[in-house]
Amino acid sequence: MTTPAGACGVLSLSALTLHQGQTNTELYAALKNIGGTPACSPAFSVTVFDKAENAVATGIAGVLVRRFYRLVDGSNTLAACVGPGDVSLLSIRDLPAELVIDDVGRLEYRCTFWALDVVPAGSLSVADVRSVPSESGVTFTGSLVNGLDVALDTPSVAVFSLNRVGRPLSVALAAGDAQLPPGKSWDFETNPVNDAGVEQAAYPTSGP
Amino acid sequence: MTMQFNRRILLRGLGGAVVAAPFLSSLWERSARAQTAAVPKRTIVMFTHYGCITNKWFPNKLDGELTAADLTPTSLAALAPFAKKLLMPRGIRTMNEWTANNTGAGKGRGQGNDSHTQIAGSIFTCQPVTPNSNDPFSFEDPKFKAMPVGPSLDHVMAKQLSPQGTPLFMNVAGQSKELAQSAISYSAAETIFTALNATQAYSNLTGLFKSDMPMNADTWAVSKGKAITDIVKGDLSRLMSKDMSKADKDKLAAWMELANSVGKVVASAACNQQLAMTLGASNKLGSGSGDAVTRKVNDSMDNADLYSAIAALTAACNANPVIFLKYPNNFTYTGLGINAESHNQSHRLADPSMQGPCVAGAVENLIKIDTYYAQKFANLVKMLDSMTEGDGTVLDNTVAVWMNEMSDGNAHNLNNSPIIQAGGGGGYFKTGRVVNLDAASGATPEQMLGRSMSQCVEGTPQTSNGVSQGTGTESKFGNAPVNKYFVNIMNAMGMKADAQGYPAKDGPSSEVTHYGYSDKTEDFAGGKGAVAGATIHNPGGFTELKA
Repeated sequence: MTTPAGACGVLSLSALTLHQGQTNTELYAALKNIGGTPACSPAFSVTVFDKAENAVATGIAGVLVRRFYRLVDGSNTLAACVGPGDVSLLSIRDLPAELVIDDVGRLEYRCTFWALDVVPAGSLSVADVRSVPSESGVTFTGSLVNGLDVALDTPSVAVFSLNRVGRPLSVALAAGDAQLPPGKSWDFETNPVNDAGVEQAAYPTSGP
Repeated sequence: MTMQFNRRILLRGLGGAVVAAPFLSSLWERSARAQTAAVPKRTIVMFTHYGCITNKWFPNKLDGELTAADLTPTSLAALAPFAKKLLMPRGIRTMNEWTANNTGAGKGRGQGNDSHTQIAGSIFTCQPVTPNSNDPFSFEDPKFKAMPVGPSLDHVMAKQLSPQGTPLFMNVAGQSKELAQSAISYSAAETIFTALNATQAYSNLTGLFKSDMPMNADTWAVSKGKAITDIVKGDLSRLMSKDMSKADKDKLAAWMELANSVGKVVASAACNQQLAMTLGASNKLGSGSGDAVTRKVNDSMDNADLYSAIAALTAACNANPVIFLKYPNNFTYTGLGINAESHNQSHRLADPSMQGPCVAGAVENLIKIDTYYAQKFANLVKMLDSMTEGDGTVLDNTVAVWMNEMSDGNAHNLNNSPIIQAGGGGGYFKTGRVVNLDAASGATPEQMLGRSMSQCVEGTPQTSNGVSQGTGTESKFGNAPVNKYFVNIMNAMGMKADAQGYPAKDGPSSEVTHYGYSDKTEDFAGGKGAVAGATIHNPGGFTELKA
C-alpha cells in the first residue's frame, strides 16, 4: 500500500480488503479522520499496480459518512463530512473481474475532500442492525433514522461485515423508494452476503 | 491536375503520390489549370491539469500584435521566439464549471458533481456528464464516476480525418489507466479512451519507413486505412466537378471503386528514419531516478520532449492529423525540485482539503510548473517549425494548442481560459496576434490577468479558499464559449458537417457551425435535459480569429 505524501490529508487509512467478488474484484477500506476538522464530500481513489509496476486498474468511491454539517456562509448548504475522530468505510465494487489478486504488487491511493467552515447539522444513523440467515447467505435488517431537518429522497444503506479488528470484509446494500421525512425511520433488509463477520458497521449511501 | 501527352489525368496526393485517373474523353478537349496538391493539416493539443498562476501566465494585453516583448515577462517566455507564429485567443470559457452553488437547473454554473470529474469530462466534449449530481458537497459514489454523454473533440475530428478513425492520444507520464476525474478523451459517450505510451506510439509509426529510404507508399498503404481516392481527394473533387459525359462519370466511378479496393494510403515523402532521429523520436524513454515526465532522455530532451517528438513525427509523416498530448494529473514534479503533489499544490495546500492555511512556496512552485509546461510547448513548436513543408513549415500547416483544465486551479474557474496556439492551420488562422473574444464584457487587461496571486502570496491572506473562487478571474469576464474555438479548428482542418452544422463524416456541408450540447455553462446545471432550451446559442466560429 502506498500513498504520495499528503495525498489523504487528515484521512488515515486504517484497513483495506481486496477480494474477488461474484462479478468483479472488490475493495473495501476504512478511513479515520485523525485531524481536528471535518473532511467533507470525501472520496477515495486507488490505482492497482502489478508486480511489474504496470497500472492494471483504477477505482474511486465516495467515503460513506453519517454526519452532516452546514456551511456558515449563509447559504444553508449541507455538506456530508467525516467528523474528527470518525471512522468511515467505503467500497469500490467495479474493479475488473480479470484482476488477479496474487499478481498485485501495490495499491496507490489518494483522497479528495473539502475542509469547510461548517457547523454540525445532524446525522443519518443506522440502528438495530441484525444479521438474518437466509438460503443465499446472510442478510441484514435495521432502521435508518433521519436525524436531519430535511427529507431524504431515496434512503439507502450499506452494511459492512467486519472481522474482529474492524477490517471490512464485504458489503450488503438496501435501497428504498419512498422519501424519508425528518425525524422518521426506514426499516430495511439488505441483499444477502456470504459472511456476517464478527460485527457490522452500517452507513447511509445517499444524502439529502 | 495536369493534362499529359498520353491523355491521362494525373491526380496528386498529399505526400507526393501520383495517381492516374482513367481517360475521360469528354474532358480531353478542355484544359485544366495546373493545381498543386493540397498541403496536409493537423491539430495537436497539449493538455495540462490544475490551471495556472494567471497573473504570470497572461501577457498584459487583450488585443493586438503579440510580440516577444509581451511574452518575455510571463511564464510563457520560452515561446517568445515564436511570437509571430502564435495566436492567443483571450476571453474564452470552457463548459460545466463547478461552484458551491451548483444545486440544479437554474442554479450555479454547471453540474454539482465532483469538480474535476465534470470539468475533465466536459472540456473537450462540451457535453454534460452522467449521472448528474445536484449536490456539490455530497459523498455519493456516482458524482465521482460521472462521464460525458458524448465523444470528445479528438475523436470527433479523428472520425473524419484520421486514417484509423481514432486520434493519437498519448499520456506523457505513461499513465494508461485514468479515472473519470482526469480523463479527457472519450471515444463515445461514457467510454474512456486509453492513451498510448511512447513505445506504443512510436512502434505504430515504424511501419512508415525503413532505414534511410523514403517510405514505400504501397507497403504502408496496405497496413493503414485510408483510401487511394482520399489522398488525391483535392484533385479528385476538382475533376468530379467538371462537366463530363455520363459515360465518363460511370468510368470514373468504376475506377474509384477499383482504386479503393486495391489498397490504402500514405505519408509524406519526407517521413523517414533520419527525420525520426533528428527529432529525437527514436530515443528510448529516460529511466532511473526522478519523475517520469522530467526524467532526462539525453542532454537536450526529457521524457515529455520525447512524446512531443513522436507527435511532431506523426504530424510530419501525416500518419494521424489528430494528436492529443496529455500531461499527468496528481503528479509530483520532483525533477523540478518540487516535492508536493500537483493537485494539492494548485490549492496552495499540503493536502487535498481545498481550504486551509497556505503552504509556503506553493505559488512559486506553480509558476515553476507553468514555466516548465511553456518550455515543453515551445520545444514542440520548435520541432514543428524545423521541418519545411510546401512554402513554409509543418508548424504553418498545423494548429498546435496548449489548453488547461481550468483557469486558476484553486478557484476551479473556467472563464478566462489560458489558451495559446501556435501555427495558422495552413492559413486559416491569424498569427502573431492576441485577440479579445469577449470585448463586450468590458474587462481591462489588468482584470484579465486574474487574481491567482490574491491569496498565499506575501502581503495577501495566508489562507487558501477554493470555495470562494477568490483566486479566479471575476466571473463576468472572459466568457466567450470554447465551442466556437473548436468550430474554428474543425473548419481549419476542412471537416464536413450535417445539415444542422454539427460535425459529420461525409456530411453535406463544408462548414461546421455547431459543437457540443451547449455553449452556455449554465445550461449544464442539472445535467442533460434539465435546462429548457439548452442549445448552441451562438453558432459558428470566431471570425476574429480567421486570417
